[in-house]
Amino acid sequence: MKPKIEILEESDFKIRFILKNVSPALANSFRRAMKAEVPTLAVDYVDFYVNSSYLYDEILAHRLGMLPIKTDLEKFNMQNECVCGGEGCPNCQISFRLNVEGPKVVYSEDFISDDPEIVFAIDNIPVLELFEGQQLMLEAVARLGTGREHAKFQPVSVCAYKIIPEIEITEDCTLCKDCIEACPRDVLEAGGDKIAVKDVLNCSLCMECIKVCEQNAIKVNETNNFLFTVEATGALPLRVVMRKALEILRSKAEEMNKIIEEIQ
Amino acid sequence: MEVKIVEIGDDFVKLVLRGEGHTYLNLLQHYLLEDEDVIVARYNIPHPLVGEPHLYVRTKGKNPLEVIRRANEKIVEACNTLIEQI
Ligand code: SF4
Ligand code: SF4
Ligand SMILES: [Zn+2]
Repeated sequence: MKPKIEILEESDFKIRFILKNVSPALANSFRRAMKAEVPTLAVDYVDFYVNSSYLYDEILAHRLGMLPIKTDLEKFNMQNECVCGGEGCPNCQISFRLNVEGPKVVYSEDFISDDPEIVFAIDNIPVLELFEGQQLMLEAVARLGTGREHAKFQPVSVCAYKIIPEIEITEDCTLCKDCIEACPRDVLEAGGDKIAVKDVLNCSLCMECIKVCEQNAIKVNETNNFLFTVEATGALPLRVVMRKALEILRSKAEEMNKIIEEIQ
Repeated sequence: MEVKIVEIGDDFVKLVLRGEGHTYLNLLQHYLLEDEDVIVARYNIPHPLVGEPHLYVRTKGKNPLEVIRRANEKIVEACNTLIEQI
């Protein structure tokens, strides 16, 4: 059977989909690739010219790194693959400038980007509070990176899957309804003269229903279908993350085949 | 990715794949084990920070590199069918 993706719900920051007919290995590699292999922009180097705020340079630099940046993967190269050889050029990095005086709360929208389309994904993230007479002047340089290197480059925050089981109730069932009582997720219901499955997607495979069934009449079988829940940070649209992750897996396989052909 | 052959024979191969991790190798191992010509397919990451995973494949007589190529083609095919649907 062919692998299939069935999207259940989708919004800008969250997607839920079923990945059908794939091995656990592919589901897990897909998850890992979305988290750790899809590149995004994040602040990686900060020049402080003036900082008389209450926060140290290091703390501020770390806070700036955590801000998700709307990324256009077409515009930027990974720094190690760039023509500049990793030194940094407009093709692989972008600056955000800030020059503010207190009293003021500095939000992510206060930064001035070199490129009006590459901005912080959410514009009301508070960075720090400046008080009377304090000043902050800095240049934050963002570059592409992957979650493998640092979590600030991850395009997704939540990215998890679980197996969608197949719940089977055999003839031995005496309709005692113990399993309905025991299920913490409200998966089962009494449907006339048999036990029916109300919402299989909710099942957490806790196997509580099996434990309480004295007749051994209920079975929870694992299948090759997976329910994914993915939440975006805002750096990339979720569909781009999904497509890119699969493209990265594919390119790894293709690259290895190319190397093998050269060896042979 | 950098592939180095440590040992090779008619029906086995031992490789080092520098720069890869569980993401790709577990997938490759799965598709290798699906193949009927494969007896052993196993990867090992000796040190998590160094990142030089070893891959060992033993077959029932087929060229091991050919078997790896076939597994990679299966990965490409699965990814392609999924990419089309997004
Ligand atoms: S606990 Fe077992 S016997 Fe009782 S209703 Fe559930 S499946 Fe049937
Ligand atoms: S495995 Fe747990 S969640 Fe699933 S139906 Fe049984 S009791 Fe409910
Ligand atoms: Zn460059």
